[in-house]
Amino acid sequence: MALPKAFDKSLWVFHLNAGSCNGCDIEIVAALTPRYDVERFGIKLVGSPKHADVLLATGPVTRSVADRVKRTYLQTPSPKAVVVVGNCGSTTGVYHDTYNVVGPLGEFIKGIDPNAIIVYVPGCPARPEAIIFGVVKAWLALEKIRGNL
Amino acid sequence: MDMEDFLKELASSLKSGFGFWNPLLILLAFGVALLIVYYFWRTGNQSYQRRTMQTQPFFSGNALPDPVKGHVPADNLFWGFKHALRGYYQLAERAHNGLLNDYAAWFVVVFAFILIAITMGGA
Repeated sequence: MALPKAFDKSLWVFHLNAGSCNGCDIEIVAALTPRYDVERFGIKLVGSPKHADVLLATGPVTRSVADRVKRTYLQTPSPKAVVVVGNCGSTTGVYHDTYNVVGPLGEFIKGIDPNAIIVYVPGCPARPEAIIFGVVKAWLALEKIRGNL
Repeated sequence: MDMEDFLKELASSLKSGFGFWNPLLILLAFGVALLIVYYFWRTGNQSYQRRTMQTQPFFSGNALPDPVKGHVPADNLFWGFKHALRGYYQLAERAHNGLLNDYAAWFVVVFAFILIAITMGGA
């Protein structure tokens, strides 16, 4: 699968909340503030997964949001990567074995697409530096598809 | 009309008080517009996989409603118009109170106003 030329310049991310407590979401917003300013690297939050290269996903997958997460992932154009931000998305964290949680976000995405590229950024909440590092890791994983590395 | 005359007719311009009409020029403009559209289409994201959900419209992650059952009120189209003229619409909506007596009163008042205007104008 060839990577579009747009990858040379920028990586657009779509923020997907799969039942997060909003802690990680605040840290994602913090990454956009002038202190971290991810847009200088070409990393930009977009309003639709149709425009996104990376899904920045937070939270364990709750039952009510599971279908929406699945649709959002499937509707994102390939090649794509998922950055799972926070402990809840990685392991379900404090919501482990809760009746209304379907499972860790990473495993849930793997269930939809076994070949999905997933980057885990642990933390409760994850620090903005870690989120930026995670997006860069996703970019490197996508670059490997092209065969440049 | 033979072919030569037809081609002459096609290449000629029709001039009127409103401007001129030349079929070849219009065809040329249409062709240029098509080229521009093709350019924009080519520069779009080509990595979409056909016959998958990637080509379906995104509806906040929700399932797409059945287009047959879907209903978009006409208000969605002209809300800006209504917003711009809200001074008039607020007045008109207040006047539409649904009371037949009020409507009859409006009729009598307007009718009387017109009658007076005609009488005064005639005099």
